[in-house]
Amino acid sequence: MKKSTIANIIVVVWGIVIILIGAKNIVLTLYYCFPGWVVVCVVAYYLCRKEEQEEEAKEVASK
Amino acid sequence: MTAALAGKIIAILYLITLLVIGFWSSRRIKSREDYFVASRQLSPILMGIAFFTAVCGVWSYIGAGGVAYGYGIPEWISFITWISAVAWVAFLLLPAIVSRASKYKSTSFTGCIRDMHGGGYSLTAITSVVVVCGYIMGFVGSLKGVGVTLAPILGIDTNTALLIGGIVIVLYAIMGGLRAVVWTDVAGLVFMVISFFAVIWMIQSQGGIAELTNRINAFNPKLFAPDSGSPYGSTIFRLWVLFPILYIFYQCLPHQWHYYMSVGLGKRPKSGAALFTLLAICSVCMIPYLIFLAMGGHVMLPGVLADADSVMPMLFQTYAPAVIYILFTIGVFTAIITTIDGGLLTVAACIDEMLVPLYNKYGLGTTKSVRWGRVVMVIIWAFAMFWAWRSPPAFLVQYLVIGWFGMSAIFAAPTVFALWKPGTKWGAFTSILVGLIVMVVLVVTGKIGPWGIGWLEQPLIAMCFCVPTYYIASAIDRKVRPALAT
Repeated sequence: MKKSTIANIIVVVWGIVIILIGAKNIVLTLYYCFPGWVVVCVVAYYLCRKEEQEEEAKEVASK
Repeated sequence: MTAALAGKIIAILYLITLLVIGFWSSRRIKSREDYFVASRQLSPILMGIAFFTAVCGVWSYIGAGGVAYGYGIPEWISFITWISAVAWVAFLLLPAIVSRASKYKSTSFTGCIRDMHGGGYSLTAITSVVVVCGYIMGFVGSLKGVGVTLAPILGIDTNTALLIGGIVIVLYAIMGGLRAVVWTDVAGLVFMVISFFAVIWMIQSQGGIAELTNRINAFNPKLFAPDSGSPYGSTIFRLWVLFPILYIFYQCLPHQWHYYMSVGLGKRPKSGAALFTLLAICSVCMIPYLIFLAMGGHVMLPGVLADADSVMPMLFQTYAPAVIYILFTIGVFTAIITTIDGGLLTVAACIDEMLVPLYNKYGLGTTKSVRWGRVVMVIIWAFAMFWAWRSPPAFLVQYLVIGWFGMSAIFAAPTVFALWKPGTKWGAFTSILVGLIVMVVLVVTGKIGPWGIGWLEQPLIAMCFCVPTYYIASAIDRKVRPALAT
């Protein structure tokens, strides 16, 4: 599976998790929603960046 | 030095900074693309911060707190679901939006829709008209807010403050276009972040989130578990379903779409989208804490407030040091102007798009067409200023929200759905026209046949008409003109 696909899944799933936690417990959401999104976005950035670097390296190698 | 004097100096310095940024940006403008989309050269980090401040309007700082104080959890649902929707659209769709806009060199929301559907002046015209009608009331309400927030800081009357604030906004936006709008948004970030940390500090000073929750629950458990989703005229369960859907399509609101299509993703669209998403959602993530604190207003402030909208200013006035209270007020002012400037530029870009045939007819070069774009912006601004000066638009908030949700519903098909499976220009035209008619009927009557519906359901129902219309009309168009099918 491509790394960007994994990043997509993480972002989508975390969005659903936030909504589910939000519906259940306001305190849990306040503790986890903001920090959670920061972590999710950083992971997504890291995965996408790595994939793009690999693709760029492949392009350079093919040239 | 007193806090009031410090506030005055900070506010004046901030206004001067805005003008300097506008002047600095104006020197880098050479074409319409430079002016309206900064040639798509602004980095995802800058654009993410600008989006952050643009979506975090006065509603987030004052209105949402007021609703949370009055009705409790429904407003919380609104913002929690907004976070997910912003992230889904920004992360998943941003590369596709930027790629389409770059391919066609679109400089406006209208132009983007038109170019994605293969041209057509009728489509340009109807899109621009809907955008102008949808935004003008928003400008009036927001400009009134400029006067109301700036007046106490500068110690002047509301209309003079409106005049000063309004002139500064239009000057920097006219001079520098999107580049100025984005950099002024970045400058305003300081005040918004200070306000956010002051909120966290106040929650902590009340014993933290868990302790404040217990106190609110002891005061009135209905705030966390109400019977209905008032003031949205729906049930709590329906709100949990309606809000995520509406907020996904809320991202095709013209000024937000304009930000999306102007991001300079370069050769790294995926990681750029992740950076943009990280910064963009920070704004929406901040608001649940404000809402929570506003609910805490019941136990933190004595008695019951006659005006629920005053809860956030009252909390800051009571609990925060005077300087922080003034910085919060400047933060609210910033939140207002960062929404107005982006909106003003977006609407001007849409009208300017309607004038392009005239530019071509009279052979106006790039420099002159940018000049006319600026004139368009001044006319819109002057109209909104005049209205804001003459009437206190207190009634506008609900219509503003209906208008913006309505507009995003009307434009859902030719934007988000078109990214997935594009229709034809007549499909887009018909869907916008049908959406407009359905939305007007729903807002005026509040009904479908004999059934009354809540105002959150109205845009969703309009969208249920628009999207099938888009594809059915496109299919008919392709049958009538077989060349389109290829």
